[in-house]
Amino acid sequence: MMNDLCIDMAMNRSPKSFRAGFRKRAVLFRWFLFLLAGKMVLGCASSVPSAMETAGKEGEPNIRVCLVENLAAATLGFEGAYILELEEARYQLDKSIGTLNASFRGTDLILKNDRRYYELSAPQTVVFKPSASGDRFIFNDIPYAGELWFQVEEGGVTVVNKLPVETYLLGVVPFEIPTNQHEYQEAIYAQAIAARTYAIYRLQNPINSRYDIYSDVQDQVYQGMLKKAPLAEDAITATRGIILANSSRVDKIFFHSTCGGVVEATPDTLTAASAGSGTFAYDLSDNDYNCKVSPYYRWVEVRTLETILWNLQKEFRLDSLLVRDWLETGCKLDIQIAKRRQSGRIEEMVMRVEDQLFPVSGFRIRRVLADQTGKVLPSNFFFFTESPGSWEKLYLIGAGAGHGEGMCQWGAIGLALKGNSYKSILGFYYPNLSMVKFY
Amino acid sequence: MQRHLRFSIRILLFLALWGGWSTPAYSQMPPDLKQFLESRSFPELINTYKRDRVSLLTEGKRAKIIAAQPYTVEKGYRCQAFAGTQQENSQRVAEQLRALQLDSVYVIYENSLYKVQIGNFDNRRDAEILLDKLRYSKVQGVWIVEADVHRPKSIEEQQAFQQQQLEEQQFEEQPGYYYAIQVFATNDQLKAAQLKETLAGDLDQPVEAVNQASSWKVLVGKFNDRSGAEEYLKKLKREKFADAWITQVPSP
Ligand SMILES: [Zn+2]
Repeated sequence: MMNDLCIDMAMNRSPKSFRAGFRKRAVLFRWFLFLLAGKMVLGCASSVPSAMETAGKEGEPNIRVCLVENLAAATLGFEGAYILELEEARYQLDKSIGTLNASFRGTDLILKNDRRYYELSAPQTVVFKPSASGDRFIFNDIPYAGELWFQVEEGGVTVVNKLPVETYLLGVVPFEIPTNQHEYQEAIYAQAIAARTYAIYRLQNPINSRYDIYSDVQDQVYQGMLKKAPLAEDAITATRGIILANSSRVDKIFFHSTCGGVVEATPDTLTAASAGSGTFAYDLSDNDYNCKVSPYYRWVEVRTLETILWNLQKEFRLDSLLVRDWLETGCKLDIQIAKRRQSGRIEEMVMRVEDQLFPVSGFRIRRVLADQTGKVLPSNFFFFTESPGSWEKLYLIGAGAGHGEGMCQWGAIGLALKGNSYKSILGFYYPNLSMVKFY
Repeated sequence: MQRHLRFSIRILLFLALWGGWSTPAYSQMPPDLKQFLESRSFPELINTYKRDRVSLLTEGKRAKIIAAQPYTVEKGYRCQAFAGTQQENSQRVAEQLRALQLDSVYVIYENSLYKVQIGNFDNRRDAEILLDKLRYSKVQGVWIVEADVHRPKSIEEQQAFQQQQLEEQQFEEQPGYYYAIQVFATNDQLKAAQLKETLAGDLDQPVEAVNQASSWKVLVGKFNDRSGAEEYLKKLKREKFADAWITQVPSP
């Protein structure tokens, strides 16, 4: 359904209003698709990097995903046959060897159970290769496809999963967006393209020489082959190789769960809107907030003084005796919002316990207001209410989940439910980027 | 603006009645409040409420903490039998270990992994002894980790705590006072009055809003003896006010 063309979605950059701009764009877009068959847009080839390592079929690159940065202990098993080639021998590992315990001692990586024992000294990179594409290795209970690398160094072991980008996306898309409803399909397509764009950006701007990308929220969540999601598979296959690019280069793009109705402007996303209304834009179409369908669209959370104090203890590495003393003898905690963005998202906050001041900013705000289990606050977008009935409790009324930049994933779902295609969804959130067939 | 104020008070009252629930669920809000919060743009709500400064207070609860935690937490060693992302698996492993008559089996959540750990050791060698025992019992895949371990408080510490609790319980009944249950305190007279009105309709005990020590307190009930108040406190705590407590009030 896609052909090898650049598809320019950024035709209309009217700064008037985000919503109006979007509508107009959508109309123009249909018209544009009509002409597409014979139309070539220049600038496709210029975004293809030359230095990148490519492998697999048709130029699909491999990506190196960091599973663990500093291995302490882990479990490892195999399904299918994995080959481990060491100087002294070539081993085949499969289900029959059971679960190995991996640990790092001194300068050695130890892999062992009651049947096998491998001691691998630094420095070396130990590579487990699958013998067929359906083979999996099971690392800490999660099945993964592709190669497993232990990069053993004197200071520690880095665990890396190397695999083709399209396979990698199978472990990303289902964890980034709900994939259980057919009605979400256009949003899942949009997410597949956004996640692929992020991966390609990371391939061009790797974290370090050992791996390209993290497997958690530092980049995007990757959970191997843990979840089988047919709708995600369809979306990945149908959009194979397609990314978003800014004519000459692939930028770092952003997306987040739920904006709560207000998207922050970033250079690639809402410059058109921000020219008119400032640094944010409403995630609005048909006079209705797109992400209203999200479970995080509005929320209320309650935190006790005790929970917040223990969060501060962790965050600022306070002596736990001090915190215990505060709790036992009584104390007062003041919280003051120091700086909000124009949208209302909180940038800086100051906490004070007795005579100690704790300034917190950015993501840290969400951590110091985590709940007892350590689950961080959904977003920085909230206000306080008094705590009726208790002086030790704080209520937070908030909106959205995530940082609010780039595509709002639940907004994308909302747009899909309203009958928009993935192209118009991407055009809505990334008006300054174009779709490019990268491989 | 009028509308905002009205909803502001209603949201507050809703939270007041909700106070005791440990996990608030937005979905439990009345539909018109939800509708109000959802249809307004959030920057507008923030600008309207402008609640950017709060203070939380605790008056200390030495007794409560010792009672709940008769141990201290220290750095030490444990045997770890499981680390994975599936909570069910961690519970299963923990149950298998408990079936072996092991008493200090813990399931913890750390660095996005569920972990099953056994024992509280201040040195590695003791942990290794347990490890050998486990292996002897055919428990596979166990290794030693550095962890936060529990050290039980000494007998003396626990006795001192019990003594203190006894002393607290025997506080004297003063003539000219009655017992009531405090459910809410604020420095806003209007809020106290609003809550009093709401509660008066719901409860079978007298409700009053009194000014004490420069703040407004909403008190429920008039009891001549502490046990009567305690009985009613249990009921209130079950229903809505987990944080209510008994207070003594001078008779008029
Ligand atoms: Zn949104």
